[in-house]
Amino acid sequence: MIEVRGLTKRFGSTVAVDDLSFTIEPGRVTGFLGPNGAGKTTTLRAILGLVRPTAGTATIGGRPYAALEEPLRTVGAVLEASAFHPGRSGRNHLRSLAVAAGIGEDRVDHALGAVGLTDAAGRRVGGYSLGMRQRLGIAGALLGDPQLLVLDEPANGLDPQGIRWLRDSLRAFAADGRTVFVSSHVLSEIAQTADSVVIINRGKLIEHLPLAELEARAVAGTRVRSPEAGKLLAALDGAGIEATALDDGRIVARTEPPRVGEIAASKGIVLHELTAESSSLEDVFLALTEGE
Amino acid sequence: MTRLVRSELFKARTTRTALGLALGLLAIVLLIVILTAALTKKSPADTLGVQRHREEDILGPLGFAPLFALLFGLLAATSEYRHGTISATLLAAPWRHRVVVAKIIASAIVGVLLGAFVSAVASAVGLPWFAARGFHVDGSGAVRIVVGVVAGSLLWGALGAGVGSIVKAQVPALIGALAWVLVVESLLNGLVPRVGRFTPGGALNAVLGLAHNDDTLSTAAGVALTLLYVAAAAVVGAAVTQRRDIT
Repeated sequence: MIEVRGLTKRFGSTVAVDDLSFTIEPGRVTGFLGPNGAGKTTTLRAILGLVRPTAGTATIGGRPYAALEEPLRTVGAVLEASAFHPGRSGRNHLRSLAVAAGIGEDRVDHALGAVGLTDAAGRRVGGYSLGMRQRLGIAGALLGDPQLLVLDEPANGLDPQGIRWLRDSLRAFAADGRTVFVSSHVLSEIAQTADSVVIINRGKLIEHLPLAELEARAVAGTRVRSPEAGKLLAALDGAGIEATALDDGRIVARTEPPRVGEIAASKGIVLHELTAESSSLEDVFLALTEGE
Repeated sequence: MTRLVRSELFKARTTRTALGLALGLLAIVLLIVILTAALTKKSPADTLGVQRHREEDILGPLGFAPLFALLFGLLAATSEYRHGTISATLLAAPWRHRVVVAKIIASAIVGVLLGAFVSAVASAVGLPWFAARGFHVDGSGAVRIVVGVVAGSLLWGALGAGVGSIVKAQVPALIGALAWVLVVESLLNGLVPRVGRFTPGGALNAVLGLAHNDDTLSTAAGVALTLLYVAAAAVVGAAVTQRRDIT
């Protein structure tokens, strides 16, 4: 659906995106993760034809965005939430886009209804809250009833109810077999929605993997203290469990505490401490992006 | 292209910019028209019927209309960048040169409406009043001025959108345009009129047919030169917009 090949974008001497390549499969929700300034927005804007790549290509269904015959019917995009004329009403903002894209008036009302803005649609956007603007942006993305949604940090500025609403909306959209590519700098925002994640940092690809695989990396660990540390290390090693001895004499094993206890008991090893130590998905994400 | 022009016209009528400019222009023009109609003293030449074509005096302030059309065109093009709506516009229509041309056409249409509206009101108020005070007012001369004002507003509306597409930063665009028209061109016209007549303002003077003098270009030359400026702004605006990163 989306194919990014060797994408590089320089702004003066700053390299925003550095030889980035990945493919977004259709019919899935893919999270686009990275810390602030990682190059997510520039990448998304390059995919949408708003930023000219210094090198490489970004295509949708094999074509650059500008070569799409009916772009709004193919891709719906949500970019920054503040990009509205404050003096124009929400409905008129959508109508101006619909007219340009040859989309019927009925779709404007449908999109407003879908994001729950029907009652506020006649008011000037200048009086909208951040959450309402974000909803209006999503309504704009839904105008053409597209097969692909591209969203840049759509949860920014949303309250918890808004985030819940966004999550449900994206799920409903993807449940129809459509494709979602959504960026965030916070993994937890999309962990419940995404099937897979593309992680970038400093413009470079770090990982592109199914979310389940990322979750598998967040396996539980066990911290264990024993007067027979050497013996325990050998026993764990013999059981095929990765274990590391720390400077303070403790051992960290990459498995659940009961398994460590069982192995120690079977070898008659005395334990003084057995503590569960879990790393969250967020820890894994932070380790991936900070390690660079 | 029709869709894009319709969208730009829709944008123009769904904010207060065009209406505000129209009312501001009307206020300025009406004020001067009323003061002129009420306060102009009759010369012996008027009384004797030797002084003719006083419509140029009473309708002179209509010369402000193209300037306001220019401001509208500048605002229409630059407000998209100021408010960030250019992203949504180019997502709906990623054919950038067409978007620039659509803005130029829409701003020309708004210019026509602006010029026609203020001309109609100023003529309806000023001409009968002036004539009633005994000044010679020629109907066909007045029509000639109104046609010039409408044509000038059309061309300068288009010019504004073209220049706005090049400059994109709203405040510098507005200040730069006003400084150019009101200061630089005034100086050129005053000091070296043979050069000044080839500036956009000099060419506009020829289109308007107001305040003609020996150095003024012919109407046809004025129209042709202004069209050339519009075309240059359109080509450069489209080329710059095509290459621009929308961040």
